[in-house]
Amino acid sequence: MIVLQARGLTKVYGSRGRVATRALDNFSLEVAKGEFVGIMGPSGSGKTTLLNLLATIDRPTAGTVCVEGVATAELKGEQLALFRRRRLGFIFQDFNLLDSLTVGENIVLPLVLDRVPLRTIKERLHTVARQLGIDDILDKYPYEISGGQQQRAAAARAIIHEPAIVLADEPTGNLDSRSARDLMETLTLLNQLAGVTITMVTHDPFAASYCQRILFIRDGRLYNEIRRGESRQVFFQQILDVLALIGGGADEPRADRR
Amino acid sequence: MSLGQIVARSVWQNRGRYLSYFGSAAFAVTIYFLYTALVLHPDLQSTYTGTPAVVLAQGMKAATVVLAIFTFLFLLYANAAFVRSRVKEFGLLSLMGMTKKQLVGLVLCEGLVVGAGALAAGLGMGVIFLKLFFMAVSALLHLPEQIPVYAGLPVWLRTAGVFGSFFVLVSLLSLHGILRRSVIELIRAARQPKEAPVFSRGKAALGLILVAGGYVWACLPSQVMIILGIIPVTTMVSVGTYFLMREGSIAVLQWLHCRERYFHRPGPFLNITQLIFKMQDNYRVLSDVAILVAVILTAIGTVVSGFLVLTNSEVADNPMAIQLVQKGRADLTAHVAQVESILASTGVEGLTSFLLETRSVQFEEMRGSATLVPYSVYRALRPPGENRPVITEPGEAILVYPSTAKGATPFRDRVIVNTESVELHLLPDASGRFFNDNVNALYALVVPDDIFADWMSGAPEEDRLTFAFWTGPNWKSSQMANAVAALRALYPETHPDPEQPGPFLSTTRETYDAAITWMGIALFIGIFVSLVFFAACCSLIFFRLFTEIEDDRKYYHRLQQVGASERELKRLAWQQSMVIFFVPFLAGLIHSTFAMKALGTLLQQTVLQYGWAVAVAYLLLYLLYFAASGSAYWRSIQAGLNRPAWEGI
Repeated sequence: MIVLQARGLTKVYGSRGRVATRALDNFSLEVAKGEFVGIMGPSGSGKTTLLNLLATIDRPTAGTVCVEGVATAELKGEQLALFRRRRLGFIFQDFNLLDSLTVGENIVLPLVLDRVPLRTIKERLHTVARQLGIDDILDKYPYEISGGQQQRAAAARAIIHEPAIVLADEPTGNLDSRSARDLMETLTLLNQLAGVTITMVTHDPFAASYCQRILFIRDGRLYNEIRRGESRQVFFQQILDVLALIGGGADEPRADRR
Repeated sequence: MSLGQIVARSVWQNRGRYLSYFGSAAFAVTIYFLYTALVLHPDLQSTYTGTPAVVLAQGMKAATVVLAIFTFLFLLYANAAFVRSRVKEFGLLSLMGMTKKQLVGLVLCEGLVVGAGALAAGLGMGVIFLKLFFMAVSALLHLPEQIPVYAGLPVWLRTAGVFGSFFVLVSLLSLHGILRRSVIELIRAARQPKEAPVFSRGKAALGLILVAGGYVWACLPSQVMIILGIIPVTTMVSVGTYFLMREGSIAVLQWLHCRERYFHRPGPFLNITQLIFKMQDNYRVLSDVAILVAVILTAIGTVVSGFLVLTNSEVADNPMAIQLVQKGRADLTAHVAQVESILASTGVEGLTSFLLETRSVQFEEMRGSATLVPYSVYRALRPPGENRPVITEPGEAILVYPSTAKGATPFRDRVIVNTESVELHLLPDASGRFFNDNVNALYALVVPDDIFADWMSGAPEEDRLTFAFWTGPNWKSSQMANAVAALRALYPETHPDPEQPGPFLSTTRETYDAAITWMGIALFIGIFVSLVFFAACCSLIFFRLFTEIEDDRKYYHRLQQVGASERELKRLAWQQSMVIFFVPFLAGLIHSTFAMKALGTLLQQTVLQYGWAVAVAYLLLYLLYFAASGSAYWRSIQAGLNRPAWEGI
């Protein structure tokens, strides 16, 4: 079953007299339920634009995005906000936890905004906290816990409302290598055991090697697509090879878009 | 880019924050300028010596001193808040290689540019309103011709000197806070994480005891206790406010936090968690504002109720619309005819006239004297009612007290009439003086008409008084004002004077006008000063709202990313600013209510209604300010929304 379907996405920036930049050019993508898809590419290749379009935060110049068969272009203002909070989950590079809420409150925020009954909220919180191994830090505030724990809390928030798809933007970008590995293993676990559909944009070949399938973008177009076999080590090597071909690959400095 | 350009750009970029500061400072300059123009007016030394105008100028002189001190404190505070909110920016400038000297130059220049702007704007407004101000003063004092407009060099020099030095001084002081920090501290300042607040039982109890103790003291019925309590109660309640504002808000919010079902709804969820931190950060400012609001409301409430009470008692002391009095036996019929013709020509209607020859009698036990009034006249003027007894038995008489204080009971006393002593059973009437207070007739003794006639015969000349008076409900009418003016030309003297022929005139209307004039003067001085206070106290909240605007933007942006719609965010932003605005106002209002209660004890009257009337007037102004600040706040938040999720802030 196809959860996310993007067809012919094109995004052109800069119209007022300036030279137009074609950030994304007739790009198509399908993500099936339960898939874990990575999107890689050099800086300026259009990854972020693609993610913005998939997240319904930006509107394409041409093409359509359908989530579970709903054409997001047809949703307006309030509807779109509701759609985003019910059907999409987000994981951000800088975690995006609210400082004034405890970890637990941060996680249940999407459910509270949606006026879900208290009992359901508690059950769901209990389940995801267990899945992500953060049940003893629920009463702490974000500043009291480590970056890795914050990102796991953010992941819990991204899945608590059982979204159709989780969109992750450089989730390991602000983590040390150990926390990054923990997080990727947790995401894999969620993907395999709980069947969470994940689409992740990343620079990090190591993080990407946890995906089942990786799309490479260059200059706004699909450059290559590789699928993972049995071994993650082999897959990692394959990713490095493609990156080397694409130019500006593994050794590219992190262009953290802040 | 030169320093000048950096200054100009930085002022422009911070214009939202500067605007409130600028406006309040300019307003203070305007009021100071206008008051100083009257204080230094040359005609006060010559033409108007000894008139209410001099009193008004004296009051304004005191007001300018208060205004200057307060404005200085406000500027100091505002500047500190201002610098604090931009510490990170200064850090970045240092990091970019700006030397301390250049940074000092930047801050000083900015302060001076804004200060000079506020001074210029304030003086400009002052000049615009100068004519109106002098017109208002002239009207207020009922001056026959308008005071000439004056704004000589001394007025300009004084205003510019006082406020100019304030701006320089405040800018210099604010440097202190920037210079003592290192670059890394400056940059880090904005990122220091906030700790979750902890409720302190001890402080809460202390605050509660202080405030409740102050309230109880203010409610004591004894006037002596109230006067003794002015300073301790003010201190107790002020200190208590700081404790209660923090601990009270934490307690309430945490209690709401624990009510899971209520808490787990979108509005409460976000409001409560956010307010727990906000109230902790802001409790000092909110307490300051609460105390300021209490002071303003109480001060104006006191002026208003003081003068209303005074006016009412002046009117009550002069119940006769028109009263002519002559000592000894006199024939006033010609005068009565004259007054009647003036009343007719000015169109005054609805007055009842009386002509009364009477005398005073001495009490034996009670000492003192009372003026006799026949029962028929008394009954005609004061129909039976509360505090108005009726004579039923022989030997009874009514004693009309000069005050309206309750508590007198019937008693027996003897009066000396024509050398013989008569015992009377005296029934008290506490509905106020019977005659106007221009003549020594404090108490009135009401006896049946036959006894009155009996006692009048053979009365010695020095005990006798002759009255002609007119009473009626229309004493406030404009026709009456004309009639009174015409009568005053005929009878210039108010108080009986053996040198003058008489009769002597007193009217309710004149007493009322005089009282109203004094009230107008006090209000005129007080209201403008209190408006400056008020503007400043609104600005304090405005600063708080905007001090952490960057953090707030981040917060709202994150919420939006989690899926909160713009409408939900807007509601949240308004609710947050509403709490920040109205919690201190409410606290101030409660404080001032107790202060008005105490004032009521001092004046022996209920004055709460005047206090609340003043509060309602200020609430309207406050609402306007809230609407403006709230929408500015939301616009500022909104500017940070709708950016692609991945860009962060």
